[in-house]
Amino acid sequence: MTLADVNETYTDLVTTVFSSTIAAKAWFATAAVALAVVQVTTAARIYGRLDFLPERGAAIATIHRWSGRLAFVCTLPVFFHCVTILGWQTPNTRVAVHAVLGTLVYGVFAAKVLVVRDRALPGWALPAAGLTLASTLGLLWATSALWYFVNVRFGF
Amino acid sequence: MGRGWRPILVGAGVVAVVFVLAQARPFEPEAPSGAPAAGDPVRGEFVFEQNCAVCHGSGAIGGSPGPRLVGSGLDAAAVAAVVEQGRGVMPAGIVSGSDRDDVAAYVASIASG
Repeated sequence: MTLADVNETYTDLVTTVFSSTIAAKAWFATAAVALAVVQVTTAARIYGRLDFLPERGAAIATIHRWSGRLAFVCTLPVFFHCVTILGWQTPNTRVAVHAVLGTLVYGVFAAKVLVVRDRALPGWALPAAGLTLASTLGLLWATSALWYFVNVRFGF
Repeated sequence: MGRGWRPILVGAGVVAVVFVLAQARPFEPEAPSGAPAAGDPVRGEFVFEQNCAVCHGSGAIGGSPGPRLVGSGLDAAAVAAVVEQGRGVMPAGIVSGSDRDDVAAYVASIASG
């Protein structure tokens, strides 16, 4: 299978559901951001905040872990299209900001995963890493999917 | 160096790999010979919705009097030529320059669907 075939196969697959690869990307990014909100909310509950939510416990921790895993999976098609097909572009401020954040996001994700597993780090490290990751994702979404929904079209 | 630097170093390494990959664009489709300058399909969809959707329908699914372009099999060069020269009731030069190239890239991206 040649590289061009990979692109065509991806496009064929995605357009069986969505009108275009760009629309698909916008919706996958939206799903990832929605799950990031779940991540931040459940993390806050784990840290004893947001008392109105159900009691802290195994269920909240499970939701936190799985929302993170699903959010990561949702970013993969976006990564494939943005990084390996469109690549680094800076034609205007919005796209330039998006390119910089998009380049950073997996690095922030990798750092956050390592911080989770390192119990020797100070207590503020994990919330700081998590909020940095959620903020990066949110800004990435605002400079792409939100722009698409507002300026191009809100639909599949 | 303390182990606290490990997440930052690994994260920086991942950023470097993503940056190199984004520069290489390994799955970027090759432009056919004779095609117009490669346009930006994302911006092209924006230009299309502003200038073309009134006839071809939002998302190019077909309208009145513009035909459906999704799955039409058109390539970017063919789209650019029609935009430039017009066809039937479609006037020539509705968009030009980089707008034309962007629209051509967008329509070509949905034409194979």
